Amino acid sequence: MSQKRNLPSWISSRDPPHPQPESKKKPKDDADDEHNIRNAPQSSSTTTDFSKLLEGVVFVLSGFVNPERSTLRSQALAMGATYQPDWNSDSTLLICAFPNTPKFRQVQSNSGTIVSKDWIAECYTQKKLVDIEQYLLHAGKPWRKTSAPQNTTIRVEEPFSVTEVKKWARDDLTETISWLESQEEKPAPGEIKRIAAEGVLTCLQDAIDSLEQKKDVGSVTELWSFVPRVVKELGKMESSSKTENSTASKDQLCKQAKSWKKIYEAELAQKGDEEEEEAKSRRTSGVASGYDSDETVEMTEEEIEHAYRNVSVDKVEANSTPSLSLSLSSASSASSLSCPRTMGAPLPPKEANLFKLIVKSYETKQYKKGLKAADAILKKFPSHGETLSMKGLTLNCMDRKTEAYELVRHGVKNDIKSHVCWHVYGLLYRSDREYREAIKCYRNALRIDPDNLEILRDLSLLQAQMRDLSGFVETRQQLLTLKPNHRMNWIGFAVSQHLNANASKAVEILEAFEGTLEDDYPPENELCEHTEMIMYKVSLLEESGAFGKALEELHKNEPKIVDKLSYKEQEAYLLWKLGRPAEASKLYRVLLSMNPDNYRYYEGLQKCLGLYSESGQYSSDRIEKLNALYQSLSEQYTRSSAVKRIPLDFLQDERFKEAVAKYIKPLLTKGVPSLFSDLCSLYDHPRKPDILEQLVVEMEHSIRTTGSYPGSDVKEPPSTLLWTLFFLAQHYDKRGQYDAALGKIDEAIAHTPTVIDLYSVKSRIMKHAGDLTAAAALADEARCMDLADRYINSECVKRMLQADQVYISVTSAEKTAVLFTKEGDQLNSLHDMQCMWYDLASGDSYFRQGDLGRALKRFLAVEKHYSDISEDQFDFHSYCLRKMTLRSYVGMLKFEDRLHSFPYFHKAAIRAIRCYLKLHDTPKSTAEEDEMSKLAPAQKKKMKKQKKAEARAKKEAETKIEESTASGVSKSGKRNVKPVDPDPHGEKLIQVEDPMAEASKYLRLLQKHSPNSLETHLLSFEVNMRKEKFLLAFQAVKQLLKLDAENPDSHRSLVKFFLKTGSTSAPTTEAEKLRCSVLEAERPSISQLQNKSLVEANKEFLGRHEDSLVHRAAYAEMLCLLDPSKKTEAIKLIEDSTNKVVQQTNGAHGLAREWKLKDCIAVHKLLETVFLDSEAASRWKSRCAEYFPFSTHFEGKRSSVMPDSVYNSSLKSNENGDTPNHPMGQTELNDGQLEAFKSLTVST
Amino acid sequence: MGTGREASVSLDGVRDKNMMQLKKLNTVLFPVRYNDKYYADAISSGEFTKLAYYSDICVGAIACRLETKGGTMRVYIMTLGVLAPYRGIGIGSKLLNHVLDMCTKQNVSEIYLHVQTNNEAAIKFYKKFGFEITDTIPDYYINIEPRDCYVVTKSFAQI
Repeated sequence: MSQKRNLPSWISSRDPPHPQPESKKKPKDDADDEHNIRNAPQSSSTTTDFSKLLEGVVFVLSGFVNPERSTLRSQALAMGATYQPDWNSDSTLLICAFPNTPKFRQVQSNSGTIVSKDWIAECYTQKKLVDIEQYLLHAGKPWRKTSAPQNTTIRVEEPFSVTEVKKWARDDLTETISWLESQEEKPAPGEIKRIAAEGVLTCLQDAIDSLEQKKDVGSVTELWSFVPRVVKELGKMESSSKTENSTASKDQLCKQAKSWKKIYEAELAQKGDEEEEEAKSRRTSGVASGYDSDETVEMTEEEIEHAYRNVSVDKVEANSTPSLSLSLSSASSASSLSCPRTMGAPLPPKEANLFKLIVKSYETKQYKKGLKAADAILKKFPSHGETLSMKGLTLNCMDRKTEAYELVRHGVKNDIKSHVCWHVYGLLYRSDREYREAIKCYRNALRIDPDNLEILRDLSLLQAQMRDLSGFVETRQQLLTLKPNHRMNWIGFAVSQHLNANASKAVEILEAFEGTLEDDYPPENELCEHTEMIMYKVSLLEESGAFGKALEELHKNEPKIVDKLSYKEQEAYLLWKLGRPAEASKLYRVLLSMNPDNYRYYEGLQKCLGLYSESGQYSSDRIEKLNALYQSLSEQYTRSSAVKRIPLDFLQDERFKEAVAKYIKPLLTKGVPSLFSDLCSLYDHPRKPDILEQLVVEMEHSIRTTGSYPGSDVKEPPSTLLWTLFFLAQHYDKRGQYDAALGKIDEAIAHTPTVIDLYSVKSRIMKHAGDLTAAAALADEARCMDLADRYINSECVKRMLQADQVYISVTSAEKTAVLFTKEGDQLNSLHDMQCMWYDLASGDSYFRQGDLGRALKRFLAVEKHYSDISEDQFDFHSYCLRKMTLRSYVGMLKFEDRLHSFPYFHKAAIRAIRCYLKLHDTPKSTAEEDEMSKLAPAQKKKMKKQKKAEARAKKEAETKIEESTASGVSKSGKRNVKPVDPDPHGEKLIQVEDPMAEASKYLRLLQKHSPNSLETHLLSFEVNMRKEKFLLAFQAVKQLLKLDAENPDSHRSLVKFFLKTGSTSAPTTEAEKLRCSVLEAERPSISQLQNKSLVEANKEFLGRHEDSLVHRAAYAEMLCLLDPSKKTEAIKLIEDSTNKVVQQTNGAHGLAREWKLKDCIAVHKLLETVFLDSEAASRWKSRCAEYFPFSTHFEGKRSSVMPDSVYNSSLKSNENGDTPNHPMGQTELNDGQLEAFKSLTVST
Repeated sequence: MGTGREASVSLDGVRDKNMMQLKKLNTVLFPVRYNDKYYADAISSGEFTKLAYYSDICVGAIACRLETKGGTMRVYIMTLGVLAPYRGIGIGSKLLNHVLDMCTKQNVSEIYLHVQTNNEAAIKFYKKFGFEITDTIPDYYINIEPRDCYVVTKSFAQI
């Protein structure tokens, strides 16, 4: 065991020795063996070299069973022998357990040499060639092939001087590096030198190998893209000597090559050494000695251990980078191919080297190279499991997935006892996000090699990702036991306990870790990390309810905490928790002086003073106190806006009016467009909106007449009127008085037509009023006014989508959306940016237009984004532990846990399920025709036009793709072609066999993450009714009733359910009987149905909600469902509903009525599609057109469908912004003193 | 007038991205619809075309065209206007002063414009800045009365 040639840090799969010397005995020996084998090729050339002791021996084993068999084999292999499973003409030596085995007799008859196992063992332990005589069982032909060099120190005449060869080495290195750098898949800059050196040496070794096998050097050079000078020289010498003599020269050449290799090794190692030193890598010692060709260097036990430790420490560092290299690193274990436990035959040195090359190429992403090497091995050993696996893994990175899986599976099959194969299999699954499968593979790998740190670490990441918390704890514990001297393992274990809901245990672990630290810890450069750890510990204590201890811990560590702000916040919070409000409030005041706009500090202070309520409701004396508090605070922090805004929430009536006036005035003067959204939350209050209205109307009036606010004589700037009007417009919009709102906003636009926000707000008002086309036109107008503003661009896209201008008009949504994406790959780029509002809005639009495929595509894209987000956390499992950002890490994990309850996902899932429901309800073949026949001729025409436009767009897109690929190729052959979406329009999506099964998938997610949403259970009801899963449907009904029994949809579901289950024929099967009995038993528990028929229940429902339109509609629908003959009665009931005027304090601006546009449209659809009464529907329509004059749905007389509307799509949109409703400047021309009237010179 | 609270007035150039602001102003301020050449000239005049912002609201603009006549540069003011509510607080002067400054800096020989003969306010305004009526063009305007216009010019002493 002369030397340790250190492969890249990750290569070693073995653990460093345990700290206790006793325990390391056996494993360490093994480890050393491995290293020897690995080192063999590099330290060749002399026979005293241990790894060449048995060179030329081709042995066969007989009569041994494992583990002895594998031990023997690996020992022999370690000494350079070659193993063969069966005796053939190549074999030279049989190692036999006892005479008279079948093989013994076979070999005897072939007059081969047979030796006892003791010889191998002796040679191995003495590290020299022991005299074979006394171990011979049968002496036959020579036991070693003659060509192998034996104790030879023949010096070949050197044709070149040593210095010259050294120069070659240096030149080769630089050239290789530059060649590598010119490659597509180049290694990391830090690695490049090392890889270059190894490449040169491997090529040289290949040449030597081929010479030894009496082959031409030329056969080697063919395989290498870059041939080092030395090999070229060998080739030259070979070709020149060929003319004279053949084999002899090969021997000579071989010797020559070997001596040169020594020089090369020394030279390159030196180079590497310098390099490493520069990088201050602790790996140095290993690498340096590794390349040192002086084989006499014997390392002491201690040195070896030291080196090991260095390597492993380094390994951890290298591993923790959250990149692909992480996954690569684990392949490192692949290098332990000579592990005695493996079933597959270990490779001979040359192939072993090649194998290393595969691993390395994989790491450096030089896949082609790796593939070449793998094929070279497989040519000789077509069933070598680990090579097959590695080849598969390499192919996986080259996007050849199916082959990859095949190969890796094949590899595992061939070498099922190899942890490498299993590890690779796990990696493969991991790369495809099949974490469960990956975990299984890792577990298998660990069964074979239980202490493999790489695999353990990888496994722990997967477990964290999958929230296999108990497994995570276990793995982390094992990692800590194996390597307790590394901080990360302690922290990792603590975090795992924390996640496994054992915060106090986590604290214990952290304390134990702190116990191992020196007094002067932490060093200067780790202060931040240490702070994080302390703060994490404090938060753990807090979580486990030990506030006192947490505070103590905090105080104890104060000097070490660099994050002073968090310290104070935490301290204040803990003090409050501990019931020491006086101290806490003092701290909160300190915090406020640092940042008087932090709402949380105000909240904390209020809590300390006992003046806080969750609901925001306060008694009058508490309001007094609060008011006094904020009065004094506002004097202190004059510049804070929070201190002025917060009192508006709790003040009432006169006080409120006073405060809000004071709050609003400066903001109107200043011109703050967001003022209304700031105050929007006040509109939930019953009286505050009225107060606001009264106040702002007064202001408007005063400014108009006097130019100042009421009771003031300070002249306001001209813009104040504008912002006041702007505020009022939003106010009326909020209260549903669209007429008044439009009046105000138009006035504002006339006042200052250049303010973009005015158009945005007008667009919003039009949307609320029911005219989406006009809203889109206005949003586009706003967009045109500042083409550099992404927000208004997005807003415009959304409005266009809401107006269903997805593909009707060329100027519409998609094109507009693309304006802000990167050039080239347009909509894909929106996808890459996870632009979910766009996916949802365009999906909705497609859905409305009946294009289920495209709609589904968009909704599922959102789902994909969410799984991507969930996926993204993977990198942080190692990164955060290493960087010690523990609080944010745990926070992030908790966030990810409830990721799917976020609104966008909720919306997308609901819509996707709706799509599937619709798919289910409309059989595939007839769907389209149906769609067509249902449409009016005009719409049909529109559809046709649409189709044409689609076809055109498709063609355009195709040509674009062609172009882009064409241009892609031209770019020096380096293509970065994104996989083309095989189904861009979702046509395949709508071909699903069982839409309900798909729907159930998303339903489950909804039920898990949004159990409190009515919509979830409504959909569950719909889906399960269609699947005839009545008990599940019943569950949904029960949930609906629990959440909101009076909701019209809950009522509908209830009635529908019992109608359906009641009407099915008598139960025949056991399951049906069971179901019936369950329902029988459950029915009385539903209060709505106690001793009542459905008809009665329905009637009662109406009785409870006689005045509500939506409830009446639900009743009517159910009435008709229960008894179709009552249709007329049902329709009459709907038509008899009255739209009451909502009480208004100020009736001057039109009446606000009770009915919502949305509900009226729903009723209209009900009349049209359920009652199928077109007369009633049109009566309803004209009635609603009165209520909603802007609604395009009801064709209100002020909506854009009217031919005289400026927004009517048949009219050309005003490009120059000269909408007729903007007063032209005519009248103002004369009074302007600056008016300079000119026309263009071109005007005749 | 002129007693408004202090608010900052700043100038900004006209580019493709905010050209709509200028268009909006012109539709309100002038009875004439301007064609694309007007906007192209305005943009290419660079510093000689400016939008005026009154506390971040675009309220006025000056748009010029650069001409060369006999080797010297001439500036023609195509439009100058401020929205009605924001007049009388010096925004027009600020715009004109900016252009006059640019003229001296860039060695412009003269600056001129056309103004309707009855627009006394405008004539008075320009005279304040040293402009003089140098010519009258009859029937300059087609659609508005009176149809005549003055040419108002200010020459710069050549250095």
